[in-house]
Amino acid sequence: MAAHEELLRREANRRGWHIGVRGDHIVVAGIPYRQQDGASAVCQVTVWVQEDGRTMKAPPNGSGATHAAGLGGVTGGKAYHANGETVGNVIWTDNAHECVISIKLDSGNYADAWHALLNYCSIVAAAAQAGGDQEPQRMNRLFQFEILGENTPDIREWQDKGSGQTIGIVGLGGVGLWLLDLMSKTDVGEIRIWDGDHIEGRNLLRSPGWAGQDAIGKNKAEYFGQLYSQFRNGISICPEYLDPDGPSDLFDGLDFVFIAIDRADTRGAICERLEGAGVSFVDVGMGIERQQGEVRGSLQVFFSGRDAGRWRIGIPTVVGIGEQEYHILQLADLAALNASLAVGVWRRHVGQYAEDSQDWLVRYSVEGNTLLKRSE
Amino acid sequence: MSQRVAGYEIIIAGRAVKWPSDWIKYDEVKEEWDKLSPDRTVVGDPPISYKRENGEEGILLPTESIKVEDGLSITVDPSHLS
Repeated sequence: MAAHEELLRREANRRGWHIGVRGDHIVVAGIPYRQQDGASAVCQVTVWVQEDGRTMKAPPNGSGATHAAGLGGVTGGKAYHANGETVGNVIWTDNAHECVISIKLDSGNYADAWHALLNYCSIVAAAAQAGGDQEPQRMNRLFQFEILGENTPDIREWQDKGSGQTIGIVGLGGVGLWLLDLMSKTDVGEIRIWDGDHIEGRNLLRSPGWAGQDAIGKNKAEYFGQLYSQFRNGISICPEYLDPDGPSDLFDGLDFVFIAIDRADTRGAICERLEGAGVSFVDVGMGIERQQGEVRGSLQVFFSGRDAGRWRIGIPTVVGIGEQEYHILQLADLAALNASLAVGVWRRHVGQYAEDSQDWLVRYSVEGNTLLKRSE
Repeated sequence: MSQRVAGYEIIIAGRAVKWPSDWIKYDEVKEEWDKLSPDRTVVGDPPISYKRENGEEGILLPTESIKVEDGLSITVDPSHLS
């Protein structure tokens, strides 16, 4: 591994940044940046590379500047220094969430893309941390609008139980999109989302709200990540399937992960990695079918926190059966319930909800309209 | 544990089954479900739940067994998707 790549990976590991190498670009998520109002949030820094994976090439909208980098998830389309100046020379901005900036080295050219990425990430992060003598504007820092009447100390104390967290959502199907919706309305600092799939019409029948017709055909993580970035800060987009055989720092910086995918083999491999990494996780899923014209089945939430290895018996691994029914029936209500139960597990985990029983498995029966549980 | 020659009348996936033993294992439920629905053999470990005539409900997990009694109703859900 070249020196700059090693340096950046070490720095990312130390500071909880997440590096993704994706075809013609390298992205680092979870970088703190300063907004125009002085509040801090997190963004992504991207550089584009040629086929060798190291030589830089100009970003889209980069006006041919091969040394330039992209910032994603930045409110107003720019990042700022404490003195109010923008970070870097802004080559292009959409004035909403993205920009391309140029920062040249005094000493000459960047050695490679990793060298540039290390410099860009360090400068953007340093700008966020400089002049930090102000009281953090926590509500403004999270959401893209003013929230009045919520800043009493006791409410802050309750919110703070989850505010420092970085959570991951693996899979943005019906349940995963509801998880994104519900978790984006909590006080977690960062939400990292993975999905390599593209949006189909049926996805819009299961997702919260109305995502818009132009969503169809777009990558789920990119589209919904950008959509929710209009609502709140700190959404890090990974527009790919999470590879459980990925690098050793795959889950670095994550406090909690929601697994909402269909493939049993991938789910098992991810659980194995999370167990090894000591990251608490929840798995969600449902099994439904029609019998004599009526839907029956169950949905369940498994929580690893009580005994991480118990996922081997707690998570169903049934393959192939029932998929057709699931994809024909558009049950947004069950997806929302599945996600709500999972978010409740997270709130109990961080201490926001009271907990009379230490549950590790919750299953809702559709026909019984009952909740079954396994507890310690 | 004694066994009744006549067995117990239980329900698996909505179908009446005569079960000869006092206990039933998770894997035995899967096998019975296969017999009832040969067109959709269970692959892997599906979610299995049960309900007794007295209203008691529970979850049956791999490696576990439950006590059998007349009227025990066991459901097997066909997938785990999100």
